[in-house]
Amino acid sequence: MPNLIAKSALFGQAPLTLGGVTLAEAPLGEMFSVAGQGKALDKALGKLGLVMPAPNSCAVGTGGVIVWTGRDQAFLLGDGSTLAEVAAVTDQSDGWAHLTLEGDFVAVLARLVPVDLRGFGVGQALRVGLGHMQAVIFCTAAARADLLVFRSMARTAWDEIAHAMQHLAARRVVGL
Amino acid sequence: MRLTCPLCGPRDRREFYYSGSADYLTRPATDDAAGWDNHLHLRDNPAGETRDLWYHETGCAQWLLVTRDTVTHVISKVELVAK
Amino acid sequence: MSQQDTGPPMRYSGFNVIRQGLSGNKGWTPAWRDPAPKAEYDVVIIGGGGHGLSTAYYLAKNHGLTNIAVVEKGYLGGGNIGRNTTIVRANYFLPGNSEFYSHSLKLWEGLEADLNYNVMHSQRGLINLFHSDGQRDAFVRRGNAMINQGDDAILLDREGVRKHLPYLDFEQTRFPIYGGLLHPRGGSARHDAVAWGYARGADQRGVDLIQNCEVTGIDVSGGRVTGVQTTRGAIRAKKVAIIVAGRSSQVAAMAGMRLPIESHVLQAFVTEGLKPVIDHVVSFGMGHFYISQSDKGGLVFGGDLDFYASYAARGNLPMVEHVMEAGMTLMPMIGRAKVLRSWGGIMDMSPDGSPIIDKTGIEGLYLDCGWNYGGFKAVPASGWCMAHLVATDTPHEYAARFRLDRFRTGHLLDEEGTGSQHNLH
Repeated sequence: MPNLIAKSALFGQAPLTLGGVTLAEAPLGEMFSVAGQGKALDKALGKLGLVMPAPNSCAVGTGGVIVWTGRDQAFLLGDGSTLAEVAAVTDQSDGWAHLTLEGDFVAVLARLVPVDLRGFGVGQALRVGLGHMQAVIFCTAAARADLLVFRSMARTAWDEIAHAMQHLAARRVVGL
Repeated sequence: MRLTCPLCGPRDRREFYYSGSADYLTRPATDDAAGWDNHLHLRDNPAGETRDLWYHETGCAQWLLVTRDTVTHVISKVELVAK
Repeated sequence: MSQQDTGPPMRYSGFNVIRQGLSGNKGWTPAWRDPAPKAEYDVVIIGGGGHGLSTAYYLAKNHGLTNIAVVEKGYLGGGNIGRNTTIVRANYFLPGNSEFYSHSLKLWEGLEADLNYNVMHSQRGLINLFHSDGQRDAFVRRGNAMINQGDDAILLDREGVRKHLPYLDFEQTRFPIYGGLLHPRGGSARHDAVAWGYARGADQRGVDLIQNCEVTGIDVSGGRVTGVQTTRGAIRAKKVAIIVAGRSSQVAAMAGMRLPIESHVLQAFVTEGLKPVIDHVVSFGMGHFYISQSDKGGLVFGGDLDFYASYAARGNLPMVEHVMEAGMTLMPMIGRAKVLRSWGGIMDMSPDGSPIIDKTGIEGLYLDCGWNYGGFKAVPASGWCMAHLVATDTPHEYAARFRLDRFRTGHLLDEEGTGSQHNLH
C-alpha cells in the first residue's frame, strides 16, 4: 500500500492576526465520537484521566481532550480506540477541521454565533451555529477558543471568521 | 423567538428545524387506516396552546417537544422527546 | 349635494370623478349596503375574504341564488386578500391543478369587464428562473404541461432572460442563472380591488354582506346543517359554506370536524415607492424569493413560510434575513430600497399543498380551504367552483380532485413532491 500523506483541511494556511486576535488552523490528530453511558465506559475513560462530560462542558485529561457534543455523546481528541468495547465509537479524524482563535475571540464570534459568549471560559463547550454552519466551540485555555467545523466547510469558516476580524480591526482603526 | 433547549440552554429559533404537531409521536397500529389519517394529516391546529416537535439541528441534534402558544409565540415548556 | 347613483356603468365615470374631486369627494355613496342579518337565508357563507365573496358572486350570477348572506367577523377583505404578493398565474403541473388554475386565469382575463370594476389586472409576464440543468429539465416539463393545458409558456435561455431582466446579477457564480420559464399571461392584480369588486357585484345581485359578525357556532341537527350562531344572533340556513382560510380549523371544529389543515405564518414585504424598475413578476429558483413592483412603485416581495404553526400574524427575523439575502443575491440593485412594511398572514396549509373544495360529512355544510400560500390567483375559480358545488351538490369538473378525503385515500395532489407534511408546500 502506498504511503499516504495526511493533510489537514487548510493545509499550508498561515495564521492570520488582526486587531490582536489570531486565527489559525490547529493540526487535528485523532478524533473519535464516543456515544454511550454506564460504569464500564466511565471506567475506561478514567484510565484516560477523563469522564463523560456534562452538557456544554469539556475537559483535558492524560488521554486527550473530551468535548460534549450531545446527549450521552462526546468527541475525544485523542485515541478513542480503547473505548470501542464499552461505547459506540467512530473515528472522525478526517471529517473535521480544527481552528483556534486567540485573543478577544468573544468580539469576533459575537458576529457569527447566536449565543452570548461573554463569560465563556475554560471548561465550557457549545454546539452552535457559526454563520450557516454547524460548529463545536470549546475552551481549554484562557483567551482562546477552539472551533470544530465539518472539514468540507473549513474554508468557508475561515473566510467568515477572517471577515469578522477585518471588520473589527477596521472599527478599531477609526476608534470605534 | 428563542427556545430553551434542555441540554444546550436558550438558543435562537434559527438553530431549530420545525417538524410539526406532537401527533407524530403517537403511531397507530399498522392496519388502522383512520388512525394513520389522524397521525399524518388531520390536526387540531389550535389557536392557543399547542405541542409540537422541533429538532435542535445546529445544536445537540435532539428532538424536542415544545409547548407553546400559536397566538402569542410564548414558549412555556421544552422537553426532550428521548427519555 | 346628493349624488344620484346612476348604476354601475356611470358611477365612476370620468365626469363623476372630476365632479367629486372638485367638491371634496363628499358625495360618494357606499359601494355596498350594510344590512342587518335576516333570520334565515338559503346559503350562509362564513368568511368575507376573496374566496367567500367570489363564491357569493358566482352563486348569484351563475346559479341565480340571491338569498345569501356572507358573514365576516371583521371587515370585508381584511385578511389575506388585502395583504399578499398579488401574483396571478396558471403554471401548474399536475392534472387537477392545471385545469383549475387555467380556468382561474381565464376568469381573471374577463374579470374587469364582468365586475365592471378596475382590479388592475396586469399581465406583465411571470419569469421563474432556473439555476441548474436539473431545474431546467423540470421547467421544460412544467412548460409543456402548461402548453398542453392551453396556456402559454416560453423557455428562455440565459441571454433570453438577460433581455427581459438585465438588472439581475448574471456574474455571481454561486447560483448561476441558466434561464427562465416565461409565462406571458402571468402577472399581478390589485388585491383589495378584487375583494371590493366581488363585494359590490354580489351586493348588487342582492347578497347581504354582513360585517362585524363572527360565527360562534354551527347548528347541526340529524346530520344536517340548520344554521349558524353569530355575535349578531342566530341565522338559519339551508346551506352553510366555510371559506375562512387560516381559521378553517376553528370554524370546522364548531361542527365537530378535524381538518387536514395546519395554520402557518407567511411574511411579505413592501419597499418605499420607486420609479418603474421591475416590469415582470420574477421568482428565484435557488432561494424562496419572488418580487414584482406595484403600480404605486413599491417593490412587493416575499419568501417562504416561517415554518412553524402560528396564528400570530407576524413572523420572525430569520425568515426576514433569508428573504433579504435571496433578494440581494438575485438583484443587488434593490439593496438600497428601504423596506416600509412587512406583515405575516395566516396560511391554511394542507398536507399536499393543494386546496380542498368539497362537501363534508354533514349535509348542507361545504368547505373551501387549504389554499396554502397561493390563494390569491385562485380567487375567481375557487368562487366559481365552490358556487357550483353549493348550488348543485356536485363538484365542478375543474375542482373534482380537491377532495377532503384524498389524504386518507392516497389521491394526493403534491405539486412540489415534498411529501405529506403541512409546512413543506
